[in-house]
Amino acid sequence: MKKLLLISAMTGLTCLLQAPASFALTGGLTLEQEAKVRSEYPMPSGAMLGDNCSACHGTKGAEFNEAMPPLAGMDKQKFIKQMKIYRANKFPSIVMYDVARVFSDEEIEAMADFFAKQKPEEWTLPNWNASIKGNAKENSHE
Amino acid sequence: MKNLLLIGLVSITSTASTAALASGHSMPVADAWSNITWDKTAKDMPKGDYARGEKLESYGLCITCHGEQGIAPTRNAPNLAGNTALYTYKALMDYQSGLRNEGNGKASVMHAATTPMSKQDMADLAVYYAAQKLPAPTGHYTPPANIKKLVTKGDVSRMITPCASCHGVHGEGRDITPALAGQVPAYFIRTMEAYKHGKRTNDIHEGMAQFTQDLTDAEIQGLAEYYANLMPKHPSHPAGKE
Amino acid sequence: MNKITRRDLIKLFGASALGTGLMGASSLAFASKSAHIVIVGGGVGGAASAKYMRLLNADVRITIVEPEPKYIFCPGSNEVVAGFDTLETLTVDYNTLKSRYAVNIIQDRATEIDYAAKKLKLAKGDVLSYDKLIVSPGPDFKYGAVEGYSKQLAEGNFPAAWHAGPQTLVLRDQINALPQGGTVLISSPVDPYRCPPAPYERASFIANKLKDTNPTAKVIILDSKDDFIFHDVYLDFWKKEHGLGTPDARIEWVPKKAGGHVTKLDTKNRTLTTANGQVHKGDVINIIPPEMAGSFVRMNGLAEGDWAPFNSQDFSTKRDKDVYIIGDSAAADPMPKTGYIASNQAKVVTKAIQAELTGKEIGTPFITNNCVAMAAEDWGMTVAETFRYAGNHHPYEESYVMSDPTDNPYYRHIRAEVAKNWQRTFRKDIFS
Repeated sequence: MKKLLLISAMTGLTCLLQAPASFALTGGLTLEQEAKVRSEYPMPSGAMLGDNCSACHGTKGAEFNEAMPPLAGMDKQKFIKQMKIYRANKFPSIVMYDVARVFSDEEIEAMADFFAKQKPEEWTLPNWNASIKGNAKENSHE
Repeated sequence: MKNLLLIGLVSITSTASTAALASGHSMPVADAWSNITWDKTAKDMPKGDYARGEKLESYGLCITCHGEQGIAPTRNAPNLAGNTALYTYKALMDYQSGLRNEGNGKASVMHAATTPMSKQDMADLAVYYAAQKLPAPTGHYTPPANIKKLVTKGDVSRMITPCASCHGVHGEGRDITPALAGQVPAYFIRTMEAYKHGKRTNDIHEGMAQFTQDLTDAEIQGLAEYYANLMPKHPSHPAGKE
Repeated sequence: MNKITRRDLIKLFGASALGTGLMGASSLAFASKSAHIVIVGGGVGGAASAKYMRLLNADVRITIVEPEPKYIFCPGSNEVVAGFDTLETLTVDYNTLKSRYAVNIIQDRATEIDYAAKKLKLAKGDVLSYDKLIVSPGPDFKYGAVEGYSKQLAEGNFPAAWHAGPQTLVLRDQINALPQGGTVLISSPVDPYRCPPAPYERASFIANKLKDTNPTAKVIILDSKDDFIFHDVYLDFWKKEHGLGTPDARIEWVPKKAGGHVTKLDTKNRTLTTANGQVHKGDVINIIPPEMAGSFVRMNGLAEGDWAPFNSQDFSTKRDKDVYIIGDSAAADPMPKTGYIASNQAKVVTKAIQAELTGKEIGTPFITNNCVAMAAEDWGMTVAETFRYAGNHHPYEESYVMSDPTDNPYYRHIRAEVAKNWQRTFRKDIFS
């Protein structure tokens, strides 16, 4: 964090930004630089991309948690539409603009295919381990 | 992390409410409603402001899960579009108070999301969402006879009153009874199971627990499909909309 | 492939592998000649490697070598220090990996790699043959970086509490027993170390707790750095909630340039001395030591300097193409040392191994780190980092978005809740 450029933009002046963007710091590669790096190598597979989502959306997108919706079995077109909405930063989100901004159309489509073919069922039965028994029990009515 | 671009956006949204630091880790325990306490609360509901509700939809991050105009993009979140203003108002209050809880990890995001809200904020959102329209269902659907019967006639042998007697023949809801037409099926099923297993208890006198306790999983599934495929009936003069 | 008998299997894996898991018959039908994937370390990187390897391949043999019978997640352990969560919530065992994913767990410490023979020696004398070896043992601490500090002191009255476990509870109890108006000193290390925002999250949680129970007490962060992730959000929080910058501030941050770098511990007088000679007295002293690759990594010639370099495409080590390094011990800069990163590195490695086993090209890797941190139970922040492959002998290229201070209460409240959701989902993604 050596060079800091502070732009204090009142929302009244955000016509140069596309939307009421999230309150955020960005850094590292610019999106243009990112796209260039991306274009120099074959596209990562849908599974490679999609498996990065599992910490929040569950293994193969099959976690039926509260804050992050399951992606397993999601309709392909719905997934694509929603990812593109996030990527365009049309409205504020918790993290999904931050996550979606780096993906190409083709990558979004590959992830959509990957998730569409996963079973829309909770990843494991609620016996996943003894120490979190209470939690599993709470979730078991689904 | 060498080059940093700091964009400090100063919001002009005028939501006045500020965050009160919640104490303790778990959900607060709230008193259940009685008809008397609810009637008084409903009478005291502030007049909702559509324009403020529209702003809060974004500022309050409702839009990120419940979609644009309250049409939910995933199976997780319910549609909010077209529900009755009183139902939405009460749901927001119940999330804030902790009365609508449904167990660990089932309502804590909504509890967090409603914590900063004033009653005015809730009324504004309620009026805004009530004025939105759900799209017409696509595809062909013919309700199975047993499901149609549950909706319109109920089942006397199991003391199940017809769904339509409270939720309306078009599933349009009334006052604090929610609209069901066009609802997200996975959400519908989750909710019915939560009532059935005593996880959701924020309705007055826990009436829904009695109606759901004898429903089979197949019937709940059938009802979810029935209502998902029911054409939403929109009020001709949506409250608050110019 | 030759079917092996149940008796052979028991001999090979122990009875636990015979649970009727997801893989059903096919996972039990691996031939004695099927590839053996051995994993050193049963933390996030190791466990994720085992699970995701099995999801790709029902037939390989998978063995984790891990000295501890259970694993305690670090995410959530600051909550334990502050007393609003328990270690039990963070503790998982290996039963699901054994029964559902047919992973053999050997409770022992790996000591030595025989690269030529492709064998791994264990402390108790066993020797395992491997086809592929995934090394994910976590980091070691450089206790000696602070004169007078040691492993023994960390396990005694001067807990580092940096890997969740008994030290976490000692620190929690010390905070609870802090005298009225007492001082808590936290020494925050140089980069890189496990979970970059965690010292500041910890300081915030402790200050929040003291606000209620011991309002004249004070937390002082003595930092070996001049900057840290979410710096602006934490400073904003400390100003708003703890009077940062005022005479009565409950929290103070001393960056390196202001003399924050801790050089010496005096246990008798309970003081820390910093690089500019200043002496700080603390009723509770929490030294988070700087880190380096785990001893297994260093002893087996995998590290260059403090960390182990690797080929970017598949995380194979520079030393041996059949030995992989992931997790905190890897020289993965600009990737931070987080469990999220370790788990995604595991997915890259397992896909590369599967490609090799099935004679396919190794694909382009892709890694994200979407992490959450908190300042309070209702004050959360997020970072979304993307790491793009930029050549096998080149570090990954990073781009990121992270939370900025905001007066929007909805962001703060909901992000904190998302953080809690994430912890649950993450534990489940790795261990079940």
